[in-house]
Amino acid sequence: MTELVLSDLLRSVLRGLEITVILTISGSILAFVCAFVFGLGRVSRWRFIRVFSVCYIELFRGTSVFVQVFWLYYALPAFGLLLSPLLAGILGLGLNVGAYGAEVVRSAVQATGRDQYEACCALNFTRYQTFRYIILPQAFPRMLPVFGNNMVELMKASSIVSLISLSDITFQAQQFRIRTGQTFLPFAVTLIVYFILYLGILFFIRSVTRLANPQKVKV
Amino acid sequence: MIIMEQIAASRPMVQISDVSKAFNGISVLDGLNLEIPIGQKVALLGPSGSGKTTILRLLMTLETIDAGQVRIEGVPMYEGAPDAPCLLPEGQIRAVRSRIGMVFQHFGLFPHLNVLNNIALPQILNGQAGKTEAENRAHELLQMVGLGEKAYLLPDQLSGGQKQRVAIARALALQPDILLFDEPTSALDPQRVSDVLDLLNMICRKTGTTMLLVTHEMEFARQFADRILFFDHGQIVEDGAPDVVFTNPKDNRTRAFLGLPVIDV
Ligand SMILES: Nc1ncnc2c1ncn2[C@@H]1O[C@H](COP(=O)(O)OP(=O)(O)O)[C@@H](O)[C@H]1O
Ligand SMILES: [Mg+2]
Repeated sequence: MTELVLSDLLRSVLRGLEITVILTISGSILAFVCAFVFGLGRVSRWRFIRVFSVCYIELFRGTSVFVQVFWLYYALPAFGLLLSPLLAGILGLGLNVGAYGAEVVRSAVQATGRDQYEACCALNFTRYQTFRYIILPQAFPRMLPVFGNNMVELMKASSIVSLISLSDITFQAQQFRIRTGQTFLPFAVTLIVYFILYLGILFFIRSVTRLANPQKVKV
Repeated sequence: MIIMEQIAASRPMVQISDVSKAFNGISVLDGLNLEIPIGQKVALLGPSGSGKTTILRLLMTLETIDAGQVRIEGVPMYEGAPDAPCLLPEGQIRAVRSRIGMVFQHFGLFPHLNVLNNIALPQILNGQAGKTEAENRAHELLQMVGLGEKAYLLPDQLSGGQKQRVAIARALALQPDILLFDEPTSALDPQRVSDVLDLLNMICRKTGTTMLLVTHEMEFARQFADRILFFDHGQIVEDGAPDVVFTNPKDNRTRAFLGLPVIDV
């Protein structure tokens, strides 16, 4: 195997990695925002917001992420909305995973006991104060492990964007295989890179968990 | 002016007028009337399910009433017609609610905050004190309830009796005019009961707070209260000074509850 082939592989992988990382990070940020907006919307006092949130959550959980990305990229232009492949990818992944995240937020918030809300009422907290200082700090650590899983799912699902002509790692590996006829090498490298990304996400979630949990004793 | 002040001073701290409350169509309170003067210590007794907790909860606005009116020193909590009362809007009800504190049967401490912050945070969020001042006050209150050394522990690291005292300190920190206690001794060892009694009596001496306390402990009620209310099916069947109610109640339901011989009419 020549040095040329190896450096070609390295360049391809790095270029693909960039796209995969951008998709994972941007998609996760969007998913995080959607999870909170619609997860809290789901338990809103206003019926309209509740119904709207349920529609979003069930629509995106009930259809495949492939179809969603295709829709954003191929079908929206028919309505005059033209998205770049990267934007369509980020939106599709973020909205899809956000719908799952919304259910995580909802159940974590609802898992906080009624006694906590009643204590807040007795202490004359506003709704915002109750949420910000009492409910959220208890609910957020409960969300983190599932958020971690969701982020990993998003990272793995990001390979579908090669179908809308984005050259992520999987796409680059394919191209490399076609160019060189090598099969083992590109996909072995791809496997390893995905696994390293996975470890990175684990590490990230572990760090956030440590920050979000109260120090037990502060003497 | 003087007359106005006298009228204000003579207003009861709590005035419950013709209040009805049903859960799922089952009536719990039916046309209840009750006035509590400023500074009075009232013990609510009665069989379980008779509506004692419900009275505390509706004073704390954790439940809303179906009919009637509730006034705190003359200020109504509800607007609209008496047969369809509607709790005042959030901004207005908070002003009334700020005068009332409650100590829950299961304490309702915040598990993610240490003991100090459980007591300091409400003062800060209510705009009563800055961080340093609130913490100083929390330390003082912890000292007062005998938990000076526990400030930096989490609630889960305390015993039931200690949690109880933190909950009392937290309610006191906001300096309410009315304090509600729901079975403050039910989660405690019998030996600890007199500690709570001493603490409540000390609070009364220091602050003159009006207190409404639900309990099952006759002896506790007798020593704590100026006035005993005996409840049955949401109705006050006995209302008087402890000596009278405990030694010579006029209602047979009370007599039965206290194990006294029933009077034939
Ligand atoms: N949130 C609720 N939903 C339905 N029923 C309730 C609720 N709260 C209280 N009740 C009922 O109201 C009655 C009075 O309850 P409560 O005030 O807790 O009695 P007590 O404190 O005297 O034991 C009981 O029959 C109880 O089952
Ligand atoms: Mg009760």
